[in-house]
Amino acid sequence: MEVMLRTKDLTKKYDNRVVVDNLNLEIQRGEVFGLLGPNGAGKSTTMNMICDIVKPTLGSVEFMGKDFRKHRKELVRKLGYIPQDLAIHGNLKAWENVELFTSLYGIKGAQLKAAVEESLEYVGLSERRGDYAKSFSGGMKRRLNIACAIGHHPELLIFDEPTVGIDPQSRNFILSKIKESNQNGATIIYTSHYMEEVEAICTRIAIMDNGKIIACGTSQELKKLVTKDAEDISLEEVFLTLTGKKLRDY
Amino acid sequence: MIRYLIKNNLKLMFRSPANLFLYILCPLVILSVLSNAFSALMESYQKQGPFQVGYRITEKSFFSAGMETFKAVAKEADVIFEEYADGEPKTLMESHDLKGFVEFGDDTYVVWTREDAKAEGMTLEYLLNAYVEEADRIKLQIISAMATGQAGMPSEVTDEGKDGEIALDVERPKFMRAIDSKDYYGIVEIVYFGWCALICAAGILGNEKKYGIRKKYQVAGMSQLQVYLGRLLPMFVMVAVCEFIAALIAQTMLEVHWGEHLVQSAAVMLFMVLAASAFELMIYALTDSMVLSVIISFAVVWTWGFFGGTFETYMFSSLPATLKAISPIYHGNRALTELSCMGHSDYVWRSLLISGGMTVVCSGLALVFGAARKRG
Repeated sequence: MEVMLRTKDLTKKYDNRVVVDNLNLEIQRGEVFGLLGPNGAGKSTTMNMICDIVKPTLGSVEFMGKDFRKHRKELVRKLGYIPQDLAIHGNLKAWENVELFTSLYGIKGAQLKAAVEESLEYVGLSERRGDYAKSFSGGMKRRLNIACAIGHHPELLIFDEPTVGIDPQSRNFILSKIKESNQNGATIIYTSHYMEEVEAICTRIAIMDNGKIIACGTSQELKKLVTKDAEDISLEEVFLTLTGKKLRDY
Repeated sequence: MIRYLIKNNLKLMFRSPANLFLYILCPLVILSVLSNAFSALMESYQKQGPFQVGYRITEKSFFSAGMETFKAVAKEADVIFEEYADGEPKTLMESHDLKGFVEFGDDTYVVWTREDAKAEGMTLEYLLNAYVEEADRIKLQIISAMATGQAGMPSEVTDEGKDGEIALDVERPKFMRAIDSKDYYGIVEIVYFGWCALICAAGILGNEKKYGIRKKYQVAGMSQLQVYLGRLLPMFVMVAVCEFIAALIAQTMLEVHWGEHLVQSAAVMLFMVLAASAFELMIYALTDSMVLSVIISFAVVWTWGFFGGTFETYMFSSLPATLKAISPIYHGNRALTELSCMGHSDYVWRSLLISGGMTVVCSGLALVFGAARKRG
């Protein structure tokens, strides 16, 4: 199987604090890879280094066999990033938001128009295309946030907690769309604090704590790390067993 | 890709009623208030009667050739020149109630003015400026004619024969129409609000930071320069369009007179808007805090406005000339008000150069600060 993304000894230090510590990850093409971890575990920093938002202190990110930082121009259109924040402009209409963020990848003219319509259709917002984003509910804003990141048809989609603060219907819709994207060929990296979501959609899960991967495998494999009978334990229990119950106040 | 960023940022700016209020309505309201408040002062400047000025001139003075013409023209402008061969200028001014005194040297002149006759002093300065400008033009023609063996001697220069002396027939200089308070404040207030360019982008820049939109630009591989231009150009267009509308309203409804050289005036204003946008984006790049940037920008622009004649007219301001000169607003205000009342100004090029220089330097610094922040 082709390796879509590989991190080699990825490390990030802020002053003397190590936030990500020698991270070595391999994500295969076609996977839905879940990244779990308590607050401050280093998930977001890892995502930011993968997307080249933050420069690593050490190590590198290889994307489709090439060093991402060195071949950025060539590879950037193959990457889609859905941040945890609702990175949209409330005073722009839905279609204008999608147009703006899709155009950043060099798509223009008729191709851009088609991409905008397709993205809005994909997240079920076609009928509200002319409405201002500020008038949308939380779930609709989340869907619009996704539409803004998929117009350029990326091969790797990174979702950073895309279902925070929305109703079950919207969550269900978003998860089904993530699955659909994966079935259409996209590789997915997914972070969330909702264990049942991760278990439902991810083919492989890594649990991160204190900047390191402490466990990685399918949900069944992770469960077997803490008990022989995987049927009797939830992923959340596995998570708490591995990372501890102590509060993480960062 | 930058085209869509500029387009959508412009939409965001124009959709904010606060921006239209700030750049169109505010200057119109303030110009009405200030022009009424200062109209009496400006009127005294406008309606001064004839006054006497003393002068002294050296034998070999460059100015002697056209002196009689100059005196005649000055008289038409209610400035009467009396020659005083001896005596201290200060004493002569006091004893003969002269409103000013000019010492013409061989190639330079010194102007003495009185604290209690500022308006007359200004008129005298403008008069001399116009005269010297005209004389310089003719001097250049003489030099060029001499270099070409008199072949292209200009028509203003006549040879009076005797010992080959050249006499200058100076054309009558054009005199300024004294600016009234409505025109003055109509111009300078629109200029001043244009210097508050950051406000129109505050919402967008705040959202970009708060909601992680900047991260999206980074993920998409946008360069520092592209992001910078995606902010600078919409700010420039937004403020320029609003200034144009405000100027149009001021001219049609409030009868603010912009003069006949509208292209020059527009160039001065547009360059200032560009400089203001670049300067304030540089502050934002440095602080990465919208609140702090607005406070710093406001403080600096207010100070420049204070030195530059935004609140008190620069003509009557008792501030030292060096303080005025460090304000880019002063050069712009002076260029625009002189274009309005005199039809020309030495400050046009000066203002364009200062604004252009500021734009280049501030843009460079903004990019450096932005890159440093990204590396950090």
